[in-house]
Amino acid sequence: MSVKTHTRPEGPETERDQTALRPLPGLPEEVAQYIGDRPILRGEDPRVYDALFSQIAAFVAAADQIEWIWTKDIVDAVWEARRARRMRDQVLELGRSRAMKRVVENLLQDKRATTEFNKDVSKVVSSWMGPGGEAKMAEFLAQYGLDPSAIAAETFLNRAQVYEQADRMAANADKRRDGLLREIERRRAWRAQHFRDAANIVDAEAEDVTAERPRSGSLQISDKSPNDKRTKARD
Amino acid sequence: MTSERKRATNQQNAQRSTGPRSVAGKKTSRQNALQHGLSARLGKNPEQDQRVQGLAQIIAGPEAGASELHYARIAADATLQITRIRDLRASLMQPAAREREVFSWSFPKRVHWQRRYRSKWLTVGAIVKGALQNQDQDGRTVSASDLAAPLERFPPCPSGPEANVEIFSRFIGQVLKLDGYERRQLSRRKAALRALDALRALLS
Repeated sequence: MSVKTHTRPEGPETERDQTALRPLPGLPEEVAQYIGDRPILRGEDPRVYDALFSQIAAFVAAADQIEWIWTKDIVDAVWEARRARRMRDQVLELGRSRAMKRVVENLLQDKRATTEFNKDVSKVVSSWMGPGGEAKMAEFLAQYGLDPSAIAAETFLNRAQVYEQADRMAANADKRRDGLLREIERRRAWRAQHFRDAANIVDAEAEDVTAERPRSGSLQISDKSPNDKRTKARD
Repeated sequence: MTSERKRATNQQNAQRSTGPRSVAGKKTSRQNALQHGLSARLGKNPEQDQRVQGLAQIIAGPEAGASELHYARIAADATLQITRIRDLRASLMQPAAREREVFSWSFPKRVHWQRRYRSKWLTVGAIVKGALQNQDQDGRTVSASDLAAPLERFPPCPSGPEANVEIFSRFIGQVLKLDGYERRQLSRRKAALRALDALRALLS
């Protein structure tokens, strides 16, 4: 008896696999060794993640290692929000055929006892999937005083909880992203203010040193402007 | 109300139950409260401690003093925890890891279906056997459509985006719980980094 074996080829096969093995573009190597993994699922393209990372990194223009860590977090938050929204939309789209079946089952209740019931339901639903299905669906539903929005309502009813949870997940990721961006902004503003204060202190100290210099000789030429209020006040 | 006698006995018994005494026992009981470790400090784990220390050094810079390193360590610990939470979130939603669990025979809908029909005349084995012999368990001749009708109630095993969505729907509740843990770690890191900046400003 021959046994069929599947041998897994060694090394990356596609460009997508190769991208997943490469370090993130622009992320310093010393930071990458701790937080450099891409949080992507099977079926998600690492090249798209890298492109997003490059765009956001260019926008943030990280000044030091702390800002690089924040940049990576922002990219992950954006990626997760996108994923949650994509899934949320798919939840409704893929729940549509099940909702159609449910609506038809409810409408054909009088035939439920027959052995052909499942066949009938499947037949009706599959006829709606093909070309011109929308018109057929509208025609069928009109017989019972309904319109295609009944299917949309049924889809939403079946998936409302998951839809709401996916929406919350996306909103949470957005909040994380906004919080991190605010933190970068706050830190830069705080540092700029700190540097300004430090520069003012240095200036003031330099002026004090000039003022305290022992006067020698007959002619003293002051380098202070007569309009300098701060100097005037001190004098 | 508890009687005096009972209270005295309880107190006497409590004196005897003072927990583990050996080093190994104490080490084990130390882990009793640990569930998933998402709120724990990674630095307490010797394996993770090196990583925390390495990242803290990067955050604080090469010329950092002990005080700066203290805050950098907290920030590094929180950063690695955030990475861990994110990996966990991805693995919960990973179709490759979850397909077997969701679409196996233990899938509740199928179990429900089997129970419902086992009492009548069908089990999965009987369907196959009946299909081969063209008769049910009582020996009555059945047509293929009779056998196929209940089979249609099986949810078809999804694949591709349908599988992803099914898995997503199944685990989104757990995934959402992780958001709270991540928020806490982000807040912890924010406080540590602000303290680090303030300290640097003070030192300069």
